[in-house]
Amino acid sequence: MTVDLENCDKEPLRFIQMVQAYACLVVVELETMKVRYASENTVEVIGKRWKDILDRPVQEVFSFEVTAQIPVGLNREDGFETLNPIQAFFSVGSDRVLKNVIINRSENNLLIEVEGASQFLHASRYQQMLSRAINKIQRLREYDNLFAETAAVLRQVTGYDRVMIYRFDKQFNGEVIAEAHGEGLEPYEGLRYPHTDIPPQARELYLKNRIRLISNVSAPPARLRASGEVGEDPLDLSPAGCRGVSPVHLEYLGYMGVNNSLSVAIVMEGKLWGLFAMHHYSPRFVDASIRNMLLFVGQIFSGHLSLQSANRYRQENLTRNLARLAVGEMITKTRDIFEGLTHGSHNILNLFEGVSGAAIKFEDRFEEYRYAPPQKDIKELIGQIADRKDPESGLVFHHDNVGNDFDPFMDHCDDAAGVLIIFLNPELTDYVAWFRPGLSQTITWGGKPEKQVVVAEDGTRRLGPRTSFARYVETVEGCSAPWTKEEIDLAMSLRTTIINSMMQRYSEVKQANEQLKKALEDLETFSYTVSHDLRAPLRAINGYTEILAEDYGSKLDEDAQVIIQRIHRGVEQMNSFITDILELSRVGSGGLKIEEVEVSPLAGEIISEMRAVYPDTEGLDLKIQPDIPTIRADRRLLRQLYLNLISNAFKYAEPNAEGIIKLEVGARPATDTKPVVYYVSNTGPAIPEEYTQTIFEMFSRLSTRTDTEGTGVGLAIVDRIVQRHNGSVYVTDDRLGITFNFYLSPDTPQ
Amino acid sequence: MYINQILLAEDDTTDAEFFQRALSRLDSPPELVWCKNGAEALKGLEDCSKASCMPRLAILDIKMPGMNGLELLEKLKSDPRTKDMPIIMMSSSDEPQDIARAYDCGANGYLVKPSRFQDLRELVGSINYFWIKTNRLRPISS
Repeated sequence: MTVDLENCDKEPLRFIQMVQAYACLVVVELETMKVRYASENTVEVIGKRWKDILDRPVQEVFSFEVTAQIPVGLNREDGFETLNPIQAFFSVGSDRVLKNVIINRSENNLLIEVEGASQFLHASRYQQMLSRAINKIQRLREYDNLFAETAAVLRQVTGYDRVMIYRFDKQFNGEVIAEAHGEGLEPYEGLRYPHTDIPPQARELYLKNRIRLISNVSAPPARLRASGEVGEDPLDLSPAGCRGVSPVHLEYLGYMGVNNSLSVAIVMEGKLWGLFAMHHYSPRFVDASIRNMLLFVGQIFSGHLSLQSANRYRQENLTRNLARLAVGEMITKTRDIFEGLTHGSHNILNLFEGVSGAAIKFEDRFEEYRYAPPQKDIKELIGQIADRKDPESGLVFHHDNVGNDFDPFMDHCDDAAGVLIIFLNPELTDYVAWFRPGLSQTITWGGKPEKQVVVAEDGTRRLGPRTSFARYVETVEGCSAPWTKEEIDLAMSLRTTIINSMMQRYSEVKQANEQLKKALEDLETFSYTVSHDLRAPLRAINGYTEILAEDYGSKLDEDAQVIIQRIHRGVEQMNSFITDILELSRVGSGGLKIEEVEVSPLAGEIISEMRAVYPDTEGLDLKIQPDIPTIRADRRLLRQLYLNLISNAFKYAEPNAEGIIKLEVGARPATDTKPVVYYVSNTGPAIPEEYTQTIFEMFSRLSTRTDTEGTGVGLAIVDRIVQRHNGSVYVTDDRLGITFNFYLSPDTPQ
Repeated sequence: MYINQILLAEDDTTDAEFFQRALSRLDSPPELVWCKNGAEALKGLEDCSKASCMPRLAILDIKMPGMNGLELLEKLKSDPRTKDMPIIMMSSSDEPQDIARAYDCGANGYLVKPSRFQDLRELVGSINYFWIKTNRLRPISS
């Protein structure tokens, strides 16, 4: 099959029917135990021509040392893994040569590879190298050191020109994170390689067969020949180490100047983490025992990596949990998401590293901390997130280049390229969001990462490897530092914490509301009790006292008459108290019926009522401003307000220096800053400043005026009425003497 | 046939006594028939109806144990024998909705129990003048 632009990433590497020149491959059918495939180079490796061994029984090709192991390997759970390599002698030409035989099972076949064995590699030296490498790796503590040291140890043990620790990122772009190389070689450390350099099917093979030797880039491979007994279908060679190399890859290595490459896959949690990538600039062969040892080192290395990463994760997890608990506690304590997230030592701005700012939107409140894009842009972003209907989007959203995918954030790439949002309600209207600045990231590629199209002589186009490995520096804009899985987990658990404490708060508010409702009902019951039951005994006292005075007055002496009068006065006072308290409770309950009310006639009406009650105020100088502007208020309550203010004036007015008692009802026109202020003013001594606030409290009466009638509830009622109309009432000592001023704005919400 | 009588349904002894005393101070006062609760008042009026001598006026306190004044009022106003008898409701409440409810139930008048005896006396005088003396001039159809 020709690999071209359309199928480049589907190139069937495992079906390449070639073997590398360093080994030969003999494939034995399990059912018949006869050779069904053989590579063309068998004669050079085992001294037998491929044509001669096809369809022959296995024992005619291999000696007893090899064939004896076949049933053993077939019956073992781990197959031939611990048996390989099997050492056996072969007669090649006139020589008896020791070879390593490696057997792997592939479905219904045994793949038997025969390759050279380094006779000089004594068992003790092998042991020594192995334990030195492993010891060194296991003693390492520092994360970064592990890579450099491992590279150095591997180079020392293997003698490769260059040993690199090559790590994949999420997109499988590779980066050389550490290396050890021979003198005079250009350093590759820090270079990146695009994911296309190691395509998906190649990465897949690394998981199956964790070591890959390309012994000699320039040695022509040997074809695999099939017996006429088997079909045309190509054989899957993935278990065989000597499997032929993709021409594209060979070309790639050739351009790099590499003649020999050995890679060991580092697998963490079932995923390809990276490679030990070793290059040699001249051909060389690496013995199967050393390859096994390298595999083992790779396992130790990934184990060490897992351990370190688990330790680090545990540590970070602990820190994160502490932060989450602290914030949760703060929210519960302050009963407020805004305070809880911002007041503690762990707070919204330091939960995640490198944030440019954060924002909280909860109910009607939106707050930004240090920095946030405009609220409307966030709202639009969330709208678009909701439209995409990602199953997780109702809980958390994260992106490290949000402006690229969501146009509301197109203009916020500098300060909010990264966004992390946790949603607090299903409508997505309440949320906590964090923003991360866009980073301009410099990536040094080992060659410009682009596809190379090679046009063959016949005009077909195919994908070729990069021809240039000159450094290519790319600057990537718009991405923030990524939100790690751990950070997203933290955000999720924080969300749960916030929602739980909010639920708690809601249930508390609900409970308080119910208590309040009950209290209001109690108050209504109390009002009724006051109006009915408390008055009955008073009526009795009053009635009997009157009857006593009327029917038996003549029989009582003067002292008794005075006592009767005092009883009478006490009862009257009690009655006014009851009336006023009842009035106050009425102000608080029921809805307001706001209308335009004419003030002048209302005041006039009240004043004539007052005149009837206080007949001795004939000489009063009374002035009602004729053109008082109408006022928007509940008529009944406004009447009560004026009644209380005017009756108050009647009660407390005193003559001025000229001996005249004056009373004035009016209004001052609105100014730029103030609405129309209505007032009731009378002559009399000014109210001392320390009392100007307290007079509006319940039962407060000026201590100097205890002789005057009044319950002290009147002004509390005035205050309550003004409050219900979103207004304000205050005392001044301008105009005639004492002035009560007020304004109402019933149309602004409370 | 009406006789010069006022039926008072009132559970409070003191209020009943005040009413009696206020009434007794009038010139040629009507006779007061005092019932302590709604049931007693119903029974009293039943007897009156049998004897064909109905009181000229009934005054019912609203807040009474058992059958309250309003329930009693509705019963009397739906009974052909008593529906034309003037009924005044009495209460210590001056809440507008209480007053309105009394009239809704068919009351002919509403009296807020005054806190001063003197006021009660004046009120009783007016009631007597309007409902007993004035009404006597006009025959009441049954």
